[in-house]
Amino acid sequence: MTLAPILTTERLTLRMPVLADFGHHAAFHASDRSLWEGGPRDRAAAWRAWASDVALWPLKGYGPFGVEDRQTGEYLGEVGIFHAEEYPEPELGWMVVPQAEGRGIAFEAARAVMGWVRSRFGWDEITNIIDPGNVRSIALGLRLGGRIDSARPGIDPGDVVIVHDLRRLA
Amino acid sequence: MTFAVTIPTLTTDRLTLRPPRESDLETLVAFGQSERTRFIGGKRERFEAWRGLLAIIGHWALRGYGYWSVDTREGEFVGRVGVSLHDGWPEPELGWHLFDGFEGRGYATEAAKAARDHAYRVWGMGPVISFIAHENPRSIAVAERLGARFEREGEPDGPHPYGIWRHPGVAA
Repeated sequence: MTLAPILTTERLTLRMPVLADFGHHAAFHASDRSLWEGGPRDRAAAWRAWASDVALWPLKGYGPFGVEDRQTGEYLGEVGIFHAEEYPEPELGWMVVPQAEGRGIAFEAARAVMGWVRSRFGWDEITNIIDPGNVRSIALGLRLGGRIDSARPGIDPGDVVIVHDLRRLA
Repeated sequence: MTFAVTIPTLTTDRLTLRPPRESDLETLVAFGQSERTRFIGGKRERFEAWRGLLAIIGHWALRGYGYWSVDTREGEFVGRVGVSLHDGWPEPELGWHLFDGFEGRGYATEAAKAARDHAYRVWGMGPVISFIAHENPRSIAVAERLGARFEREGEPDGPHPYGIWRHPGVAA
């Protein structure tokens, strides 16, 4: 079964998640930063949630990328395609570690992932499904060129669904 | 550059240990509603059954070993067996469970022996442990048939106190 390719951008390397990433996810799930993602969760639940996201790679050929600083190798977060069973469709999602916030890391990584899914799968669009209280993620989705489609189903009632037209990338 | 992981398929006299797949889900959802989950975390809803299935596949991708789905030679999905090391566990654990209606035929012993042999021979593990609840005599019987011995009490982490059983050190 095939896992993630390596993508590079100006500042970043995107690669297959590895075990050493888990500590960052455990910390994220333990913090209030995970409130918009169904958290907080204890370590065991964080492990199940994260390992089940990683499993998308062998199952579906897409999934989350670990994002590193291209120069230093420092772990910055996770950006990629998420697709839990309850999701209406594959979703573009992102998480950055606290020290990487405010530097446009998620923006740069998300652009790379959008280009990759367009060239790899030929998808015309990809969505974000975001809790309405998560204003920073909504702002990022719009900054990436997405538009809010209130007719689309989210996961929970009230979710904001942002649609990105990938044909514009080519 | 692309990474890859290979989940081997093992065969025994009566069983096939094969990679888990998404179509295992409906069986696992039904199992998740049964009393048979009592010693492995309890009943779970559909989404948790899905998440559990994927976490097993993710375990293979992250650690290079994990749990197989077990079919009869006729292709009936009867249970799961394998070696896992979840976060916070002291060392890799050999575990097994069978779905309703497939117990009492020696399937768990046969599958666990094949998984253990593979873990020792190919992954260089051993002697491995099994966590078994004290109130689960059927699983204790499987461990004893596999030659395992009670080693110590497990760290309490749920409603069912359990023992740590140590398997013999070489492939039998």
